[in-house]
Amino acid sequence: MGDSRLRVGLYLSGTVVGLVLLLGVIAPFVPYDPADAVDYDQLLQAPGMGHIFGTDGQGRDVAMRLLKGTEAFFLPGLMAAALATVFGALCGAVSGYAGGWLRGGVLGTMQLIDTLPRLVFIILVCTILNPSIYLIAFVAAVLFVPSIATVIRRRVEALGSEDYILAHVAHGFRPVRILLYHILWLQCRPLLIRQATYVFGYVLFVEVALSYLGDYGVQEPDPSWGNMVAQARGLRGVSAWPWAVPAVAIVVTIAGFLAFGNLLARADEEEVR
Amino acid sequence: MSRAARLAIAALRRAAGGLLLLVGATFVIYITIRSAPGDAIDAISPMGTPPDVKARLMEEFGLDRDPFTGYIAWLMRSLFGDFGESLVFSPGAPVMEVVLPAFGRTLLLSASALVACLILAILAALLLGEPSRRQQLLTGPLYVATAAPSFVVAVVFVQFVNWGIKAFLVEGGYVPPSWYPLEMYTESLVPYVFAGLTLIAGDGLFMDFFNSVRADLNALRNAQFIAAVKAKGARTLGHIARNMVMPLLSGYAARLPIVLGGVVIVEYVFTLDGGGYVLLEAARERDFPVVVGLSVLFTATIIAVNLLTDIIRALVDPREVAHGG
Amino acid sequence: MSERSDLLSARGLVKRFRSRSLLRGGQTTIALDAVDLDVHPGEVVALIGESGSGKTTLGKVVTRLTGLDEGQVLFEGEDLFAVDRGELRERRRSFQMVFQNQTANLHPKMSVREMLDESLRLHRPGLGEGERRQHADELLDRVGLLPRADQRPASLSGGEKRRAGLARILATKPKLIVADEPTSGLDAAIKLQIIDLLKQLKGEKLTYLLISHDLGLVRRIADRVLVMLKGRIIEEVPAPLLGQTRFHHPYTGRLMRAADLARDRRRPPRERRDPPRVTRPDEAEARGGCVYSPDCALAERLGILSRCRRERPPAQVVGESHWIACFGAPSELAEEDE
Repeated sequence: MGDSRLRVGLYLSGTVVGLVLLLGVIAPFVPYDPADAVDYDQLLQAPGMGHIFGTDGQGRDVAMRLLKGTEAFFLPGLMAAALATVFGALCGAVSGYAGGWLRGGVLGTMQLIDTLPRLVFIILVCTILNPSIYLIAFVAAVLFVPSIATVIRRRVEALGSEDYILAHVAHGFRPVRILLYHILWLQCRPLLIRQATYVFGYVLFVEVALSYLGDYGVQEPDPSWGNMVAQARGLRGVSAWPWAVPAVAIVVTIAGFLAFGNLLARADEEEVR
Repeated sequence: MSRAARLAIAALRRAAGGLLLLVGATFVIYITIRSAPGDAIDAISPMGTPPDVKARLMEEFGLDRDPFTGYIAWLMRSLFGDFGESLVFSPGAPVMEVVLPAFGRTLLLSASALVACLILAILAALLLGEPSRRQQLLTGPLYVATAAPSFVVAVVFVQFVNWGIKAFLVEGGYVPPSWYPLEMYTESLVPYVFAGLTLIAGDGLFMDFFNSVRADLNALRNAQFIAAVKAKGARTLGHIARNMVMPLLSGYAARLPIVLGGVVIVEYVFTLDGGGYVLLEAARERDFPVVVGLSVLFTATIIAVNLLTDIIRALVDPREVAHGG
Repeated sequence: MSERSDLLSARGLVKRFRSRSLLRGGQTTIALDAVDLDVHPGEVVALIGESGSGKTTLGKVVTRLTGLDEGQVLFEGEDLFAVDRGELRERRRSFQMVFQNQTANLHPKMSVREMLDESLRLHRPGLGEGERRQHADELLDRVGLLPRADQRPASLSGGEKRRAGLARILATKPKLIVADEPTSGLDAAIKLQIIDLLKQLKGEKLTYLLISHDLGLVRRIADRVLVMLKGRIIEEVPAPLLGQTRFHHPYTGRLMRAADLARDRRRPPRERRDPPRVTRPDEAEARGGCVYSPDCALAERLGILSRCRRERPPAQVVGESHWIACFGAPSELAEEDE
């Protein structure tokens, strides 16, 4: 893989990530009253001056709803990504380094969580608890811990088998420092960032899916990318903009985040080589 | 010990492990039920459920006992396929009768999508081989397209079906009754084919398979033992195939939860009468026994498939047996 | 063997590895079999033997990098397996190990200077920022790596990696260095440079336990040589005598010949007396006897094979600081070579 191509990919996906982060940060500061936004004189406008992405079936500005819609997944996504990464890294490090019952216990728990079908379990939780998006994000984070832990455990085990940990122990470093600093921080950072982007993408996916299904997630008239698509599906054949814009946003965001994480990890591998 | 006996022991050990996992996973599901805020029975029954039905639910889910014995009682029923009766979705019918046929269709759909995806990935990997410059340029957009969540793909499909393909499929003048254009085709294969395509294209499944198949192929082409086999004058294809079975099988096992997640939404969007659709409808109507029954079925399927791939892997590679699960 | 102030003194070390497999049953491999080892300050003790003889395990045991089943390790008179973890970390400054695997000694994401800085921060907490840098430069200068200080391991050559690993170890001011194959995988010229460096450091009052099957290296810098086979030390010989004396354990003789053959490829292989295996019939009567007995031509010739298989030969002294664990009398041993 050429260096330049890698860089172009990183810039492109990095731009997407940066843009989403920017939107997510500024969205809460933009005043928006969904009831106020309804304008029956401006139904289903094509994109143009004033409404860069046009308007939806109730005359609301699609761009504005797209911006405010980031609130539905942005903070929960960040939270889930952070939680899953931290716990996944810890579980992976512990199960890769420790032996005996501790390793067995962590591995068993990971395997157990991993057998739960993610989306089905989330829907089950939704049925029982009717939870906020934050709780859903938390559940998603827990469900992602095993896959992150596995990635990290493999890395730790690979390093451990290279006498690597032993050499650092021999040098007098504390195992905790070796694990947290030498291995997790210095060696696994790109891997962890990649996993974090997965989790973030998954939270967006879950939010969108649940909103699309209607009963869970953000409810109309508050905007979310999922309920924008869901709302607009009745407009098929009339206007494409109200569903196409959020759909494209969803796809580009998820793809951008995944690609960014992947390319970052790959760039790191090539740097070491 | 003979090889067959070793394999049998290894298989039994794994089966025991799988059973243990199933018990653990159902316990997690059960604890989730019990963790409902307030009175659990209110959380799991639809509005306006008559008291006698509530009492039956209480008993079925062991809510009148402490979580542990309650779980045991519930597990004993569930293990024998008794998940109680449907409340709303199909009132009075045993959950298993409602759920099993639908879940069967889901499995068929997921499995066909996986197999088709694998075949396509292998074909693509064989055709493309070492990526040329033009193919490299293609991977970017392809990547973006296939990273889309399957249900976004599904929605897009439905839109296109309505605009373009409809004219192709329907002899003019057809106006869809509700928002869903393919409703009349539920009896035919067409929506299933579309749903399958959606599953393949969505969630990065195809890209994932394609990448891993290509990587495996390249690694195998360069592998030293292939050179050794060639040097001996034997044919390489058989060896490559044999050595690909393992990584691909584990790939399957790893991807199944994602496909099963995707299939739920895809069925819903295409209104295919499968397990996912039933799950979401039942969840919406708060038909709790159906939701729980399906959750257990989905979980059990994942465990079973993992178990199966494990055992097949052991058959292919004798080393796997020695290491134990 | 003597009781004068030992830096390192190990008695009766036993280490077993168990393969845990329900199907195969727990197989036990004996890696160390009642090994005694003394290292005096300022000397270089070399462990030689084929791979799998337990050299590296011995190195790891005396630095407490792996557990011990029986026996005792005293470092400066203190039982190494009795100190608690925190104290052990303090002690580790005094005995450092160079790993055979060079990637293990270095961190791929840190430059040489960063690694040294980290080590100094850990082992010399009193130093300020500037002092640490100055100190790191001194260390780098000592191993001749100053111009490459800001490189990461990936861009260092094999020899430079060894130097970097050594510099990092020297940062702790160790009393004992356990060096596992410090020259393996290096080409001849670089190997000589590393040997020179080790020699030069030896002059600076460093003590080595050198693990190597590179007999050239061993002859150049070792004082005493211990020959290991299957977890036992079967001979101790002063380094200058290695290959020069007529008294050697039959196995040592075989090692010497193998090395000689390897050094001069033009010479046609001599008579193939040595079978390629070492030990089996059944693991020399489950290790009650001499582990070399199944391969031993001497035992066969002397007709003492059955005894060798049943009894463990004691050490018999054949010269100053020179003993051999063999039932053959010194005169008979001498005849064995040619």
